[in-house]
Amino acid sequence: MILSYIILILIAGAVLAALTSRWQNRLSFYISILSQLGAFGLALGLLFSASHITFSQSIYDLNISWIPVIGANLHLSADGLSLLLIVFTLFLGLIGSWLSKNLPQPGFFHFQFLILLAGINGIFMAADLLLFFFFWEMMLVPMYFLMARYRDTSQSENTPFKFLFYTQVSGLIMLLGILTLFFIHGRQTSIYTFELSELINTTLPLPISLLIMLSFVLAFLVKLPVIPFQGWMPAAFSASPLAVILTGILVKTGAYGILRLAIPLFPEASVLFAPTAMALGVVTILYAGFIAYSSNDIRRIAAYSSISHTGFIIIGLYAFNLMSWQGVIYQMIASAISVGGLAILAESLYTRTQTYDITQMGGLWSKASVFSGFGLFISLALLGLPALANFVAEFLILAGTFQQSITVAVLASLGIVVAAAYSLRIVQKVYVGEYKGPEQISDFTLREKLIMGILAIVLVVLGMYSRPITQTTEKMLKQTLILDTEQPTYQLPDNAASVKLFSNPQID
Amino acid sequence: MFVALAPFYVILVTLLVVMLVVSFYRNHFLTALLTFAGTALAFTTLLSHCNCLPWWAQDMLITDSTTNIMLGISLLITLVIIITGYNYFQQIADKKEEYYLLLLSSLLGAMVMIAARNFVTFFLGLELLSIPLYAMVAYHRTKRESVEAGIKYLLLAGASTAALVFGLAIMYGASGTMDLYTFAIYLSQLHQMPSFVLVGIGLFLGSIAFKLALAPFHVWTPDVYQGAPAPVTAYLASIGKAGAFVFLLRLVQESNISSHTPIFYILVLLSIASMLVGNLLALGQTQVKRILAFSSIAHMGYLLIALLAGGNNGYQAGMFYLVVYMISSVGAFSSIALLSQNQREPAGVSEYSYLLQRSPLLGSVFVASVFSLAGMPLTAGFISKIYLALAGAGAALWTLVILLVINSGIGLYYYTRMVAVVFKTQETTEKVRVPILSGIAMAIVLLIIVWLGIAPGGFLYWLVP
Repeated sequence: MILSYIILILIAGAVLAALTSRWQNRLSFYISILSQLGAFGLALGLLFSASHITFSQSIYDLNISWIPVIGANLHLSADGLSLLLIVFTLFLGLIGSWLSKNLPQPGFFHFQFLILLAGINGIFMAADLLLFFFFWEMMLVPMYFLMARYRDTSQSENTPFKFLFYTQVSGLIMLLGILTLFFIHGRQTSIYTFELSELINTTLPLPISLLIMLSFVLAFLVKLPVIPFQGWMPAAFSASPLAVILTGILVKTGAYGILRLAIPLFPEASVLFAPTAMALGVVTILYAGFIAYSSNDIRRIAAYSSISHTGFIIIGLYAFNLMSWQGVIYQMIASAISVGGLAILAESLYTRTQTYDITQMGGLWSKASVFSGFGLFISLALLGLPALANFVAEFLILAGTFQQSITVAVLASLGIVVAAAYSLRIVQKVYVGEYKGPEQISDFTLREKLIMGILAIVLVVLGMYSRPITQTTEKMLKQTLILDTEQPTYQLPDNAASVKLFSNPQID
Repeated sequence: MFVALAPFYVILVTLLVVMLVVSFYRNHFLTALLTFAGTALAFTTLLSHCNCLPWWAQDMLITDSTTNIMLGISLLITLVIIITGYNYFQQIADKKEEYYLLLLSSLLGAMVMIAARNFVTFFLGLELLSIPLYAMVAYHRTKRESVEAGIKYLLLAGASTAALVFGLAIMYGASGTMDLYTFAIYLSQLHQMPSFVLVGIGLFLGSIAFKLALAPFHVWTPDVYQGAPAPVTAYLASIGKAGAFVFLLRLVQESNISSHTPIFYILVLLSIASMLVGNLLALGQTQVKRILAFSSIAHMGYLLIALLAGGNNGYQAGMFYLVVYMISSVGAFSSIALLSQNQREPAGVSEYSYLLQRSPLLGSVFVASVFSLAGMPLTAGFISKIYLALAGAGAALWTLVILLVINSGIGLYYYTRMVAVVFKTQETTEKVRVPILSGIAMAIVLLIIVWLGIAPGGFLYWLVP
């Protein structure tokens, strides 16, 4: 029941914030913050007891009938992984709404923002496949509204549409996969249900399982995004000041979907898909890294560095071992914080210098030292400096991948070099050198200092002390791995590259 | 014994009362009030439903739960159209009252079509629905495009009626019956369909396709939708299609008509053509009413998937999709009606700019309706599209389901183009004044769209046969 309260608090906050903004704009901001804090507190409380819970059988479940005619249930559930991501989403959400305190039409903003958070949290909790799809699609609408309303007016009008088009079409293709799975399971067992724990037991012929898995993975890869599907992401980043926080939260749902649905539901097909996925991952890391290096728009750099990070996530996911999966979860968090920090810096820079072009800046250190200090810190985090969270993430992923495929690990490590290049280029162009900006430039305000300070502290703490995160997710990840490695119902060809991936004994 | 026919009687009596009142005392408000009261009363008689037709009506009408649900939805939608159209027709200089007469008689026709179990009843209902519509479409007597739309509709509908009568004659000649169920039994006993029966059914399907605006029988739709007054378009797009579809659904459910290969392919081709024509032609349009007209063509194409899927899933998906489509269309067209000022409807997409700022309520209803038509989540259209895909996938109609997905993607482009301008803001805008009753009606439409999009379980439960 407590899980449903998290979503209900957010929705109630959304409605209240929309209604109160008629009288008092400030009030809707405080209501929004309060409801997020409430949900955050609840989720944090659950997180401490979460490491022993298994998904879809936890004690906090809510399971009622939703659309009884087709056997869809409103089943919310959570384990360590989902609670960790929920807590983290709400944390980023709080920062996002704090940043957007002075936006016009706060009632509209907070309504959509809280609905968006509710949808994302719903994704992490859904234990029913149709419910998952419902939440998955539900978050598009507020996201689209926010992007349409708070669009950067200098950008083309098509930006929000691009986002909607990519995600909606891939979502509908996933729906076809879900329905096929539903009917196959129904015909086998004559129980027509969307319940995840039931559908996992469906026996599928390999070609069909591969097709359904691809329909799922396509939706997740678009959301992540991985290279051929990245078109919406840079557009979204330059769309509005908070798009970055939003996308930072959104992209994690893609990785979560692969980990929670695509791999457990279709283990053999996932193994077959792994070499392709790894290739996509490597291409993503390097290609996005090079684009980030060659861009001058700082928001574009942020977008492509985020895409480059998702390449690591893909590689880690399809390396199928505990170490790389831990790294993936780390990367989801670390990437969102560090890229988010960069985008916040970009906005702060823009309000001071009226430009996003890094070639127009320089020597900021002499004028605004606190600003530049945080800027350097974020750049170092992006390039994966040891003792910061990104380092742990990339190290875990690369070490895990190394056991599977040395080539992939070596190629992916090149990505770190590229990351160093583009993040140091920011430092070189913006903070050092000859000062080019306007005469008067103010340093960070107290709010900016606090926000960046919090982000920096989180990055350092996660970089030094990783035990809590690895511990809460360990059980869930091990379960999925065992599921994956103990059910080889299909004989794979001996010479396939995937066999090597499959027979990985390294669980701990 | 008359309880089952009560809605029909109430509408008929209201029609006569309004006719008498108008001929003695012309008053727009009084006429609208009487029409509203009569329609509301007809709706309340539905609540005490019983399946107890008198013997002389049993061969002509059927009052099962399908009839009841569709009658209820149609009457509720008419109520919304009356309320939101009141201010619209207030702006017309003279002769406002006849509109309500035409509306009521057309509604009676639609109700008869929904309840028809005989091809003759169906034909009578169709004519009673169509003939007032010619006048309603051309209600702006002084506007060229409205009159043009009326004449176009009259000529083409006349031709389609002729085809219908000819088709029915052939079907009667072959089967010796005009009863829906007897005809269905006749069809299911046929192993191979004789070609003249095929011609008859083809003509019948063609004229129904005309009513539903399925491609290639769609050419009248954009002009008529655009030329007609917005409340009439709302009526035409929603209730004008309900009767024909429900009758076709009954025929397909009762017989194995779609298992005959030629009929199956006719329906599949109609569906594919409508989806593609509707969506592709909508892409280039700049006028909101024309975009919605093409989108309605596409929606009818989607609906045929439910028809072809058959079985319980097909029946529920078809009914649910139709209801959701009707409600969403009414939401969109009624918003247009409420936005009209001095007999001028906002036409181009750009005239809907700043709508959310000008009137948060109308903006929300317009966005919700358009998104519901687009099948976006949190609106009813999302669930109904899932259900449709479910029915199609269950019947293994993969080509159609994949086309449904592709077309939904294409559709997003023109739907979001309409929605995107609504979010624009500027410093000062003139507010739109929404009359309080219209505001309440629109808020209810909005709530229904969102409610069916989040918790459709209860409504779908009603549709279980």
